[in-house]
Amino acid sequence: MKQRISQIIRDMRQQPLVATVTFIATVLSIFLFMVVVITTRVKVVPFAPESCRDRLLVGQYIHIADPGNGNYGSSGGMSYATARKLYGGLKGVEHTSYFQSLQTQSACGEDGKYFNVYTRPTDSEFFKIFDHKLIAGRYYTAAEAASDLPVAVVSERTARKAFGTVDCTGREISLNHKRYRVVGVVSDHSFLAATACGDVFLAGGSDENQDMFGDTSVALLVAEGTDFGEIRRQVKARYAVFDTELAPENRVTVYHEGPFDQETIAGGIPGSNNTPDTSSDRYVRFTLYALLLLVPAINLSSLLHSRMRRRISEIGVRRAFGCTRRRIITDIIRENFIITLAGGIVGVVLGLVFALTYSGLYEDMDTYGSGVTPALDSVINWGTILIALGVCFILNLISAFVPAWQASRLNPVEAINAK
Amino acid sequence: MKRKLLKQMLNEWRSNVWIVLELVIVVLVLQLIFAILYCIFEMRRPALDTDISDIYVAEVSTLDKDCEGYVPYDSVHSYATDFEMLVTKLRSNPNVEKIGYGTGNTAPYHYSFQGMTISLPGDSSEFLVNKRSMSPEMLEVFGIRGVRGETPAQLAEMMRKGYILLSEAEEDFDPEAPKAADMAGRDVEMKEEGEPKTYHVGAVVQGMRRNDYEPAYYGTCYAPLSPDEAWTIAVRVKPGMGHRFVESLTVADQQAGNLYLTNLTSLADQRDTSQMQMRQTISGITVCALFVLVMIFLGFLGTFWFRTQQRVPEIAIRKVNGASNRDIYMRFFAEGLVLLGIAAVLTLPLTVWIVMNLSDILQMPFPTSTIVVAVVFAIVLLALLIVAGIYAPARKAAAVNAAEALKDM
Repeated sequence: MKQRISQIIRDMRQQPLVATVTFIATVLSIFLFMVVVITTRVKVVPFAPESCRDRLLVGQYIHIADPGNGNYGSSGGMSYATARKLYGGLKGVEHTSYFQSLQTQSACGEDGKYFNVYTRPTDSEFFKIFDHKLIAGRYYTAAEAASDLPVAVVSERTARKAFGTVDCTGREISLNHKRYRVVGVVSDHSFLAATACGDVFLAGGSDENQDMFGDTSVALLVAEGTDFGEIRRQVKARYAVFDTELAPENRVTVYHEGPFDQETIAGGIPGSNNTPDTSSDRYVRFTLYALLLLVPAINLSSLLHSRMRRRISEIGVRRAFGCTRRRIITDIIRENFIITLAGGIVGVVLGLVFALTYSGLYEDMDTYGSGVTPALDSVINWGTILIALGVCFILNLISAFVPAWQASRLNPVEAINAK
Repeated sequence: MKRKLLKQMLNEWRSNVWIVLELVIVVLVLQLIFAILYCIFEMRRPALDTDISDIYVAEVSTLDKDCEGYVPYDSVHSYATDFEMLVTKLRSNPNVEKIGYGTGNTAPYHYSFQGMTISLPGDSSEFLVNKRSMSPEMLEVFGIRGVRGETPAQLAEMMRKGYILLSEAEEDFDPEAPKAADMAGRDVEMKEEGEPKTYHVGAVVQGMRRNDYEPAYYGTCYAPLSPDEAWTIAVRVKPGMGHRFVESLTVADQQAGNLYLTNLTSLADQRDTSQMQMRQTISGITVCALFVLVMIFLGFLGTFWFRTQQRVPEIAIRKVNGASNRDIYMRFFAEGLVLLGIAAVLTLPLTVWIVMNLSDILQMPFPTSTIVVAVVFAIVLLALLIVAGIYAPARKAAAVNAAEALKDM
């Protein structure tokens, strides 16, 4: 190994420009690939408070069509009544939570200063699905939520802004001129957990609207081993029942393959009247990955091919002394892997630092314009490390195999005579 | 000379195949990127054809019944009276030039679409519009003008008479549909939830998109609204106030009766937030383009640097036979550009096919000029990058001392 590394260094010293170009190209390729992978993965990997992402389904909208009246139709958020009708008491679901979308409210603490917070009315089941870490007090109870009592669970940041301390349970915070009693404080979290995030959680989650439309979403924590398809089949059956209720008005529901899993949510739900196209998103994503690997791989392969021509005589001598073609190929691939790995490590480190510090990467996920940053464990985890290693390996294999194979097929006599 | 160049390139076919293969992929990718960027920028137009930097928009919320200060409504005190009071209070603010109110989709950068169809009496063909209900003053806040030069104030007068104002659709979405111009000055029927109502069309005016990147395949209908149906307020503040306007308002300034303002933000900020995803898409594909360009640069720099080292004797013989430094440069550049030419020819049919089908894949219109723009931009940019990548090796080659090089042979 030591001998191999010293040979690589000697080889690189002989051709400093080509070696530098190879190294920079490797660093750049791995860096960009890792940034793309990380920004894609933070949307789907589980992290608190959405550690349940692998078992999470979310229902958001309802679409009612009026086939007898041209293209008329209505679509939008669900009312609490509609959400319960479509998603309540499904088999294979451990917890069902009803909650509303984030709203900006004007908060006022005890010092009389106003500041904006994102509030989210939820039921008590919400905290059984989403693991918001409690650092003081408690979550609100089912009875408090059912009675719409003015109680709140606030984030650490909000508690400090309003009271100057996280030890604030029992104290009151004003939100849009209404006073709420703080019952618990949860730790700050990344707003990349778009379904579970919020500065202040308010007991409730059920709107008063008895119409079909409203602002209620539903989160389903699916039991271990239960197929998402089974849950969707049940929901589809609920839609069919709903259609029978709408039949006298000559209206029908339009089912858009809900409830949605995390991959679909990450791809962006295209409004209330369209079906998300996850396979198309996946196709675009994998094309991008292939492109980010293929272009540098061909580039590096071309550079390696040039470097190999310098070593024709050496390869000829090794072949003359009985070295097998297979050995030549594996040696070249191994040598190249060391260079790729060195460049890869630099690229990965740069990628991780960039992903953790540059919030502009997550602008498209920053629905609330609050300047999101990812949670550390959503960026640095075993999955990311394995992907980084895999990318280095694949990049090395694609770029080194053909030049190595060509080098192994050299005629020893011609190779030794070559200059 | 040309034949010799091609022959020499053929001799180095193994190395050149890699470069051509890389170029084929890169040319294809760049052409697609330029096609998409061109179409995005072709579609881009401000949603509202006016300077929005001094416009602020806010929602109006009602105090909760449990709140301190809530006064129940009665026959005298109503939502509408509170609303008028709030508007009057804001109007009296010295920093406010104009104030108007409307429903949720009154302002651009709000994705709610209130789709209505309008038709001339006795004509079954329908004109699709996005109905934006507002007070007449809102036309002045947004600086909406008529296509015949009517000022916002004149249009506001028309709306005070109960007239509606229509804009044409941007694209010929439905060629059979009547045009707004055919309806100007006439009574029309607007179907709201299936029920037709008669309105008089005051004028044809500028349209309002939902955002800068979505062409309006529909007309805009500006319709009058009473205060009891409004829940959005827009103000045009004195020029140059910037964010100081929001900071200058106290809590009391934003409250009247049971009503108070929420989400008071500048329209420019709302635009930036609502178009974040598109900006991310544009920057993402631009980074992709830069990445492949840098790769090409590095690839040519590395490969041709190596070739220079390999070809020292050949270059020396050329120089001995009278080749100038310029000839050496040109030979290297020609090699790179020929390789690019081969890649461009190979990718052209595929580029044409993909761009022709992109409209369906990406669901956006692609003008016919897209292919030309994409091909020209990609090839010119790559040619420049290739010349830049080859420059240093070519310079090194031109600096070869023929006598020294031949002595070492």
